Amino acid sequence: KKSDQEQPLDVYANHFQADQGKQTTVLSGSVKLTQGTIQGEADKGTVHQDKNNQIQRVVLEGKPARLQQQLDDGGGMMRASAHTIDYAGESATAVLSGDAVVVQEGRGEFRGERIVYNTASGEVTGGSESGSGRVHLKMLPKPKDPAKAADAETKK
Amino acid sequence: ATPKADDFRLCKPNALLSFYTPGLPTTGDRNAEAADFTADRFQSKDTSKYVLEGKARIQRLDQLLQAERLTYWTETTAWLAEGDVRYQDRGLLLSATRGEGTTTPSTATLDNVRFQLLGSRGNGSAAQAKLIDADHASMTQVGFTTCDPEATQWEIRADDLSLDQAEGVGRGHNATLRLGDVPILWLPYVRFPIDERRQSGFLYPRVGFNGNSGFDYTQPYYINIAPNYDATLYPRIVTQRGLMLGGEFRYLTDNHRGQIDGSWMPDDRKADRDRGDFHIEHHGVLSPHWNIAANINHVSDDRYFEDFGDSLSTVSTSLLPSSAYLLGHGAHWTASFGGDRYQITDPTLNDIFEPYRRLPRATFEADVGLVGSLRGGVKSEFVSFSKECQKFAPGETGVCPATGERLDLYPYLSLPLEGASWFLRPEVGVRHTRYEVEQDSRVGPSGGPVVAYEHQWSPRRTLPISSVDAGLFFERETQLWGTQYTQTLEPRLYYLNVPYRDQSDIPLFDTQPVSFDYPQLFTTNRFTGADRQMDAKNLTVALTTRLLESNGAERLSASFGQIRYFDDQRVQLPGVNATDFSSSAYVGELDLRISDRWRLKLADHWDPNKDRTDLSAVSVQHRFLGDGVVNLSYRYRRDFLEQTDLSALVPINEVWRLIGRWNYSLRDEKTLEGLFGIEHDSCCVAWRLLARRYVRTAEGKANNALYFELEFKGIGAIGQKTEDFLRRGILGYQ
Amino acid sequence: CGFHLREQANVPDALRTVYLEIADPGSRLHRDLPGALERAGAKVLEAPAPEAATLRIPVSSLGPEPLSVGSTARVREYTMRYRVEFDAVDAAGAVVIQRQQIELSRDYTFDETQALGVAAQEEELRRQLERDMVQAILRRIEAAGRH
Repeated sequence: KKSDQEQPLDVYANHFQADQGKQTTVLSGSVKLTQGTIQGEADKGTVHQDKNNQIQRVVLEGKPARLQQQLDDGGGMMRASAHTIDYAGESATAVLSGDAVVVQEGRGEFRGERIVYNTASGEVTGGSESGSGRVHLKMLPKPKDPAKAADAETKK
Repeated sequence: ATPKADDFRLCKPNALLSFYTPGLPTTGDRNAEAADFTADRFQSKDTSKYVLEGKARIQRLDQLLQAERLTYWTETTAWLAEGDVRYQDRGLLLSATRGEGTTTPSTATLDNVRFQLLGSRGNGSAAQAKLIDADHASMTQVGFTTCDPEATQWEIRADDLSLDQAEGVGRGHNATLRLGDVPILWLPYVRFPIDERRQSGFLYPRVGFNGNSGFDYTQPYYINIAPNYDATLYPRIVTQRGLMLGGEFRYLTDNHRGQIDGSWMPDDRKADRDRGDFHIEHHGVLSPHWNIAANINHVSDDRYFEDFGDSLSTVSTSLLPSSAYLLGHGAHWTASFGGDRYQITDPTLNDIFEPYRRLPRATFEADVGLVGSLRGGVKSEFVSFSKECQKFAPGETGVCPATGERLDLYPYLSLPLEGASWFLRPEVGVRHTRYEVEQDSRVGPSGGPVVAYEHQWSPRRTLPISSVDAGLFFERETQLWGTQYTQTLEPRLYYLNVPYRDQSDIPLFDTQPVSFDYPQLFTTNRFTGADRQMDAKNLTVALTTRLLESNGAERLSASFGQIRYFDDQRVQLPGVNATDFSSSAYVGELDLRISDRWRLKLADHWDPNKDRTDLSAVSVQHRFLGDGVVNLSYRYRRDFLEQTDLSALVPINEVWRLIGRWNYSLRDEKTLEGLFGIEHDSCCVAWRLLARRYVRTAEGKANNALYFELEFKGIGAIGQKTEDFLRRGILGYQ
Repeated sequence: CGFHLREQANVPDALRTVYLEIADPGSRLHRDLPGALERAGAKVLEAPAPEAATLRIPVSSLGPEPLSVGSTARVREYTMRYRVEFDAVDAAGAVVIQRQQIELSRDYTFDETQALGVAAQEEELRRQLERDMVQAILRRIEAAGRH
């Protein structure tokens, strides 16, 4: 949701290891991240803070690392997964790379080497400049009537 | 020469196929399937619009769209493709500069299109193509052909063209058929098949020119009425004569099949009368034991074949047979009931030579085992002969041909004994023939009043016929030209005894001497028909040898024989020179297959009594290069004909073939038929040019004819080819 | 000179019981061939049966063709040509005799002024060719039996 932007960004993990000099904290052991309806999970995480200790960026890594968010229209969920998810709370952009998959329920899936997902506008951009990897999208057939849309959901 | 069925083996694989992706599903409902997009990069400002760039592809079920740049609107499922656009589905392959459409419902419009049908050879280009659904596409400013895209030997150009792959039909407007760059046919509306299915439509025009009738153009139109009925119309223009409409209707049901065709020219300018012919052929199975077979022919006048026959064999028909019979057959018997007649189609043949009409005519034959190997049987025939008498001018006298009924019965007993290496077949029977004959005549004794007079009489003839046929089979294994053969030696004796009966009071209805030939050595009568039964006390001595390959095929068979007459032949035919010698001609025959490629046939009848040859015929056949063949033959029959005949079909290569024939009569020092033809075959067009000079009229006048046949492969069923369609379409249609 | 009387040649074992499947059932070939096969030791069935082999004659065409044409453009000689293609498969469907063709022909003159007996002459030639064809087919079948 757009309102997630105003929510606090919290991070949980079993172990913390702060490095004051670089202002980074390395998290490990079922790392979690929440901001409003956004929830992230990973095996390992690195939090980057600015000078006054505000969380600037969180980099989650996992096999795969996951991120989900509730969408504004229709209440469907957005689920994303990738080897690394670099989430910048301020600019609300998550850069997924390494088998990146973004699934917008009821509309489609996006796969590729590198996908940039804007958690505020829902904008999705894929493909690396070098053009080495291919990007894949899957568009579900446009349901003729809402009732059918519901069936499409349960079937998946 | 019937053109080969549509074969495209001379065509290169289509260039457009280079981007064809095999393996896509071909069935299913497109609107219910998800669409997969792939690209190097994609970008979606909001969830309703996606832009894909860099070899972008949309694939859904059997549809695959590729382009440099694809834009997709999720709400309306609309898409826009730009830059090297390529589209593929189960029936069609397209390349275009630009395209747009929607995935649900599945529509597409592409510009500057090159297309290739996947179901058949059809391909071409178009300014714009609209894909309505999986089987329907409509295009504007179209060029359609079945040739290789870069070697378009012919093309149909049309303002618009709709391709219906469900029905297999292309429809277009304001179309011109172009051969190379030359427009040869303009049609406001054109409808043509785009795949192999039987379609109504125009068949290939047959164009010809000959000295006797001028320019001759036939444009057949095939009508596919139903799976087991079809018809073909043959509108034909013969410049020096007029317009002619021909038609052919064919039908096939479970038990009956047949064909009715005919043609009609209302007013032949050259012969200033109506001309036409019709032909009915029918075969039917009425019951397990009874069939019906009819073959009725009629022509309007006796020069019809001379003027309209296109091959030497039709032109030279002098007697046109018509017959219709119920045919019965059982385990041991056969029977027939019906009638037949002949129509004279040779202007020089006087009416008196018209054969009798035989209506009705019934035959019954049976042959059944009695006891042990003894067999009994009967051959019987009843015929009513009729013939018109010529019209008598007042006071003119003359005799009409005799007409009447004849019953011929031949009950016989035979004892066929056979072993592996011998056979002995004695047979004895009695032939009883009785007539009811009447003959009208006009008699005027020395200037007295002319009196019509009808003479009736009932001749009979009864005589025994006894014969013994015996033979032995010898064998040995031999080596010839390095291969193993079984050579057989088959001596055969045939003794025949028939007492003399005076048959001078029996009229001649259907009896004539039979051309003397090897089988004649072993028959009970040297006349055909029942009006004359020869008297005989003969012994035939004959010897046959064969070289059999391991599979039983005859590499060589040679036979030699002669009849020794112990009595003079007292039964003769009026007007045929009598035979009065002690032995018949020697009959020799040789049929040798030197190899699978070479074949030699030899036949010779040498008459010892007059020390002259009655018949000698030599023919050599050589096969080469697949379907190439050369035949050379010499035929001589005493006082009848002496001819040489050279014919060849020479395939130069896959594309060019030459056909030639030269039939020369030594007796008349004249060429009977000279023929030279070139056949050009290529990927999608084949043409044939045939120049012929053949003797056409009974007076020996020759005729020069030029035939040209053009064939656009793939867009029209070829007349002869529809036979194959029918045969493939309907099992068992002969 | 090595000639000896021909031994009893029989139908190959695979064709001991055989069903004759022929293109035109009304023909004399269909009536005479079973008799000849039976004399060569086979048992011919009226209808196809699972244990019976099948002798198939899909092509059988018999008819006159013009052989030579005279100077008056009229046919002088005809050839009565009989062409048959046949093969044989055993009960299991294995090929016993390869598909092969036999062509027999008899030439006869045709003088239209003497055209009275044309039909009778052609009928006689058909009969002779049909008798010869039965022997020719039988020779091929017996030859297959010998090897």
